[in-house]
Amino acid sequence: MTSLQNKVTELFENGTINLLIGFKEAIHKLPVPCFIDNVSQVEQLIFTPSCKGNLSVYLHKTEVKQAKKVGILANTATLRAIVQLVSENQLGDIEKTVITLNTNGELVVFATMDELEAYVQANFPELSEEDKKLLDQLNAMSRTERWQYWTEQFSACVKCYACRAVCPMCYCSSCTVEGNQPQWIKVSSETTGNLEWHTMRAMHLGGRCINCGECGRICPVGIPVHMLTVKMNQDIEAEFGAKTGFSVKNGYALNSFKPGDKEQFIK
Amino acid sequence: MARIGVFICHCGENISATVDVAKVAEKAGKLSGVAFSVDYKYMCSDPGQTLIIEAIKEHKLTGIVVAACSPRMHEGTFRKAAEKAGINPYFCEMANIREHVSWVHPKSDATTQKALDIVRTMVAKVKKNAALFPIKVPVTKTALVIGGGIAGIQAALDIANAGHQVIMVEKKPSIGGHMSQLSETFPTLDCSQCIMTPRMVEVAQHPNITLHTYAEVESVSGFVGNFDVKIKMKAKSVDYKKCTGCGACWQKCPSKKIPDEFNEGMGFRTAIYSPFPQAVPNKPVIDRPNCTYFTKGGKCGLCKKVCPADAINYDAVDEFIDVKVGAIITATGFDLKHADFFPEYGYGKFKDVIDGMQFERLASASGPTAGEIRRPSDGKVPEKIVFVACAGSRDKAKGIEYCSKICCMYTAKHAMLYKHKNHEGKAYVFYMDIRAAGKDYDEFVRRAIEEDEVQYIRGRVSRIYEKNGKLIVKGVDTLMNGEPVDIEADMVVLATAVVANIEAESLAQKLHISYNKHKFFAEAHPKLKPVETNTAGIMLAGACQSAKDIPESVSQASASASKAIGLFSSNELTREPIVAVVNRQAPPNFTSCTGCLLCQEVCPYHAIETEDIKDRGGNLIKRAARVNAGLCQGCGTCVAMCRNKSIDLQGFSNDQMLSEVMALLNA
Repeated sequence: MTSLQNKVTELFENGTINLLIGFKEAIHKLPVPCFIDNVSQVEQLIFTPSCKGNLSVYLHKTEVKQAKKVGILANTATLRAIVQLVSENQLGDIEKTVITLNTNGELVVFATMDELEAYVQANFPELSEEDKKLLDQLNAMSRTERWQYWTEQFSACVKCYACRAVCPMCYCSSCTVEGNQPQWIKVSSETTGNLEWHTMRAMHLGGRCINCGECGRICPVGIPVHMLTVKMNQDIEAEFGAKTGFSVKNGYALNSFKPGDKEQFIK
Repeated sequence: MARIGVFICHCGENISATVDVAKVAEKAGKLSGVAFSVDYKYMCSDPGQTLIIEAIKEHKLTGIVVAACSPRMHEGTFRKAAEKAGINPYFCEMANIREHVSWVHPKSDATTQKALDIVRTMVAKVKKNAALFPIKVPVTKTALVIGGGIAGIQAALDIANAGHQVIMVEKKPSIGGHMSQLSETFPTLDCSQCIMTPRMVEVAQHPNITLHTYAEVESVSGFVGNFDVKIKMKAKSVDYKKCTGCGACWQKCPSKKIPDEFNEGMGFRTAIYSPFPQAVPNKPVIDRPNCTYFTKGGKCGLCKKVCPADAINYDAVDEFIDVKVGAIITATGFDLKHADFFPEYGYGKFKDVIDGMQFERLASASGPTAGEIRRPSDGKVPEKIVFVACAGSRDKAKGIEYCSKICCMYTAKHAMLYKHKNHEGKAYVFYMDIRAAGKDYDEFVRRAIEEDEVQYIRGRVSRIYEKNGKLIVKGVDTLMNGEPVDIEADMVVLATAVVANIEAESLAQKLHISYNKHKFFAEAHPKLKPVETNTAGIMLAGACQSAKDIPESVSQASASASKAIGLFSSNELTREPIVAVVNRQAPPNFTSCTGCLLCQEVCPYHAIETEDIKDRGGNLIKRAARVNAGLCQGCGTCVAMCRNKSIDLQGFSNDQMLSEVMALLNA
């Protein structure tokens, strides 16, 4: 058994957890999420740098919450997501045991939220090179060019809402896009309605998105949707100095006012 | 099926001169769902209202749109008419075609079109309206008065005399506030304590007033008519039920060298003390940080030995009591700016540079010099005395732009009192402007100048320094072309700026009321709601709002008392049902609210609470937001914040708003 498997077995046996959200190997040796609720399943667990998925998306599912004592394998993006979710009062009703791999490839189990927060702050992830490049390209475009770029991208959107399903911050039990009294967003998949949906999503996630990039990675038609919120986060951090998923006492830059806030955006 | 009635008002010629009202009525009549449409000269008149009532009955209307003036003006009128006709008043909407159309546009087809557009949006809205019912909130007919100065006393007496219960909280051992420290009062020069003490005694003896001295407000929750207040009763170390106020304890107390706050540090008091002879209640407290028993670990204990009533209790601890009140009046008063703020005037450095309140104590018969004006340094009667007005006030460099308002008057009074007691003495006043706008105020200042020969010099003092036992006051006389003036004075009195009570900010935060950058509490409207705060049920009295003299404080106290009495005049408060509501859904969701509580942070009225939704076994299913309808003012900020539209504003729902927008877009 690997050290991970040993650790998880121990956690199950001493009653710290009764459910673990982790990764197992599937076809072509690709890691996929798995849910383990007893020791006999521990053997399938893996946790390698290729385990890029953000498992925190499962933390607020009703079935997971019912387990009460939940363990989770977390990469740095997942850690950030957990910090952000706690700051948004979302994980109060479960006892979570978070396990991560540090830069030396060693297992770290966080005993408290404070420890986790300190770890995140010390190992705060940067944007990937790929995303940095794309962000620079977007920033370099004129408004018209950027509008054209996104219009073109979103004309391909099939409104499968995979971007929503994979997002740990999209935890609403019912989404505005599905509301029909009144219907704010057009249901059918056509460019205007698609733009409306993605604009709304970006507005709801700006200042909250933790830059894990899962939405862009999951998109079946290859739209880099995550760049909308990455860009918004960049602006919000520049304006208000607020980093998402950085502290549980973060506050939300877009609903609070501080006398020192810059106000250049009102012009 | 909606049957909407549209009523277009001419407002005399106010609307009909620029808007083709007949055309608007005609076109509105063709809108989908509109069953009746008419125009009339004055809809708000009796025949106009009758027309509406009759039309509702005759055409079985389900909702009405009155296109007339601002809803501020006549919404109430037309809602009552709708109610009389038998429909819920919230099925009445107003289209403002006066302020928004006829008054701001010239006569033209476009103007008429705009009137029609507005009517169309309101028709679309009223179709989505729901019946709403007024919210009834019970009222606890007890008022809390915070602060026992003249403003608090006046407010408490007014409310108590109207037959309601009052709880007064005063942080010091006695009520009386600053007014009890004053010698005489302007503009009549009557003795402050002589007019003050009967009021203090009245408070203590009033059957409707419960007085808590040496107490502070710890926390406040709830809302208008239903505040829950926790009061901290600081340990007095004296059992007031046993204490007779005989004074044996403070006569024997060995710690006699404690600077006396009541005399502004110019005299001494004991560790067990009652602040002044006329104190109410006239019973002592032990100042623990200065008491030998408490600082030397149980040594001394003299007061306990001499107390004939066995009232001393060294083991007393701070106690907390919870009270329920319907209204709160804050009367926490002011402070004066003190030392180190005026290094250029040597304040705090030279003993004979004092502030206005210290001068009051020198001039007071109950003060450290028994009313003789003597310098603090050597006890000599000063022959020359300089008064400096605006010491700190109206001084941007000092960060205080405002006028402290009372200094012009009390400085004239001080100079006058000095001259009355020392006929040969010379009094000078440096001033910027004389602001004596009150009944008999200017006459009073003129009297000081003309009859009592106080020399007024218009100009500022740049520096005060000591030389050969004299205070050299360097200033200019701007009425003499800025000629320098040097006065060798024996004493200088600075009319230092009036500032907010040092604890004002923390109290405001407990009460959820706003305050300005100088920490003075903010009124709800500077002109039309000068005594109310933005938090319903909390009123302001006296200098906690801004610098005020006694008559102003008393009038404002009576005004805020009348607001409290008005609140207590019925058993229930009726509130408009225009409040936010968190939605409810069938299980397993129960509500679409996810409990992120962004709404709680943005709500300016602290109206959002959390609600735990539990199953029948008591297990938590969900924590969601809930709106306290008693506190909600219907501003809608929470609605704007809610990502998945779980919260909605009754009367201005998302559905209604989008219908209005779509009606405009789909013209």
